[in-house]
Amino acid sequence: MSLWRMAWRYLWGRTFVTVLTVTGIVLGAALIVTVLTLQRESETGFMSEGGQYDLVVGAKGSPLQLVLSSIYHLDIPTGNIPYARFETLTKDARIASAVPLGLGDNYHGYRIVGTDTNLFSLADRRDPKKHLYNLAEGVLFQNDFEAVIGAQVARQTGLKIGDSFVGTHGLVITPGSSEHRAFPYKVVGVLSPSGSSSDNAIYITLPSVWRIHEKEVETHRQIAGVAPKAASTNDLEVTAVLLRLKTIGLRLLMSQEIQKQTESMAAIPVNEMLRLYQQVLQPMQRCLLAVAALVVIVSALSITATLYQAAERRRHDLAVLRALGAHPREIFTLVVLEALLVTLLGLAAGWLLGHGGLALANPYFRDSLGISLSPWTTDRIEIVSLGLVAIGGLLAGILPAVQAYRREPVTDLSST
Amino acid sequence: MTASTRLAVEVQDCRLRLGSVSAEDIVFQLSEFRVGQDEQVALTGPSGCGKSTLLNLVAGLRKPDTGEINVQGTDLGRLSPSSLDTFRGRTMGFIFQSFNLLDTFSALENVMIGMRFGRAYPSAKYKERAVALLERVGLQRRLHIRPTRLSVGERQRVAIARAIANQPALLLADEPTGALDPATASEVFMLIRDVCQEEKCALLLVTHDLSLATQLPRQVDCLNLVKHIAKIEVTS
Repeated sequence: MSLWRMAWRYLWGRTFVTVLTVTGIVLGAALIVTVLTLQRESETGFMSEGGQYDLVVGAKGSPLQLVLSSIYHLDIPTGNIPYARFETLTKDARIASAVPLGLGDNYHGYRIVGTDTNLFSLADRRDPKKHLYNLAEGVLFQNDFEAVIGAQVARQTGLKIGDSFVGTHGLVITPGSSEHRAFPYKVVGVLSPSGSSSDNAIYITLPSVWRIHEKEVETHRQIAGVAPKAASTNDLEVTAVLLRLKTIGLRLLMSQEIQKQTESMAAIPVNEMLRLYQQVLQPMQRCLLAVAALVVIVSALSITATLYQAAERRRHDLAVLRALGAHPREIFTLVVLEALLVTLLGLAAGWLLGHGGLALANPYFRDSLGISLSPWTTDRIEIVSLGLVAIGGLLAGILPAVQAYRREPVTDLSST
Repeated sequence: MTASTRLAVEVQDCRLRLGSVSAEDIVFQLSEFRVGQDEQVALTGPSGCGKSTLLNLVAGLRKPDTGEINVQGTDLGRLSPSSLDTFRGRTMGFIFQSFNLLDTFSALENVMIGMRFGRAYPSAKYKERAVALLERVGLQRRLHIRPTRLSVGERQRVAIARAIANQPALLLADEPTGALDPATASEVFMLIRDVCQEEKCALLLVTHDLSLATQLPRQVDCLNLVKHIAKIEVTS
């Protein structure tokens, strides 16, 4: 019978204590796995999506708010800028592509984004051979009031090609908000799931947005008894413009140039997301990692205490093994193996719990944050962290093992 | 071949300080003791006369302060701790009054663990020999039962099987029948005697039961063998 098997049998000879000790390691390991995976995925998810655009131009206000509202569909926009600003930008030779966005309505909480088809011709910067937005079925919008919906929108609302729906005023669901019943949209395309914010958006033509809100303004004028106003292109507005530059090095210069314009500002998405990450997410993640480390340390101490107690209770057994010819180093190894088995068992179950939990929670992250996780990916940092836990567990077994190693068997054997 | 290699046990001028009571040092002292190859010896005497101490010294579980202990011609004092453990596991078998079985493991596993640390057989042979030995002591139907679910007589039978599993040259039995009723004690005693004859190993058996002791070819009264010296410490 090998020492491994003996150690295993000894562990399960005290099932309750072993289960408790393993549970401590499981929780610590699962917490580490969860925090590290969320850290990696949120970092890559947020950063890579932000990195798809070099600049976002919008109304003056908070740059972070502008980035969150126009790229991630999370915050409210800073306001609108004249459509003429967008036209000016399209003529700038330094700009590779400019995509206008017009926000204002939602359908069941999913934002309706007015834009043009240039959005769908953008290449994915992570894999330039692919497009950033891909149709799963149907076609792109050709006419006003045709809509291309994100994968998550289709899944959650049940909308499919050919279906009609009406938007509600505002960017979020608000009780009493008016529905634009006179302007129903028709679904003509559904996007493939991308694990990004586009899954949660509905794309329509920019003029659709203008026509709905032009009508709304007109209605308000009539109610107020104000004379109708002739429509003018000078009145047209966009919420933001997404820019890709020909040279990424121009980001700062161009943002400063745009900043000088009275009505607009430019934000560098990557910088804003990095700042958000460093100021808000990273400290939170560090706190969680510290908690995970504490859980692991407590578990390691628990291993030491358990094994110490077990070795004390087993003094008689260990003395018998010595009498049978076991070397002190074999006794030492036996006790250390118990610690190692507890730790490895806890790590394996913790890894499974952490990653399995993330796999189960993936739909929630996708639906609520627009981040699609790769829940089973184990990177180097995670392997190193779990390796440190394994070493900690091993060290936790050393003290009781040394105690057992040093003990003279004769004192623990029965005597006449 | 020297004289000592023909003996299973040879103890010479052995002295061991056992501890102190008040200001007195209790010292175990044995000038000479021998057990021949295949010889069966009963060690008798009242409690505290040094029977178990002698057994522990012969087993190498205790080290004398002075003197020499040879087992199968090997001077135990010259062996490193690891070599002594290996030597003990391979050369000697142990039977204790309280059986000293490992409760976590089955009867079969207890015997196999004895073989694992005895290192006398290749691991592939453990099971076959352990099963054969347990059958020999009448436990063929109790192989996978843990000691806590065996009767005391059965436990001692497992201990006997474990003790002879490595075909030791010397079997040390410390009050092996002390915890058994008279009928079972007699059965176990006969079993120990018989297996020692079958396995051709010397037997050094500690017992209080003179009726059993007299059934072995040689009896040694520890009171006549071991001297205890109580040395009075003079303090200023």
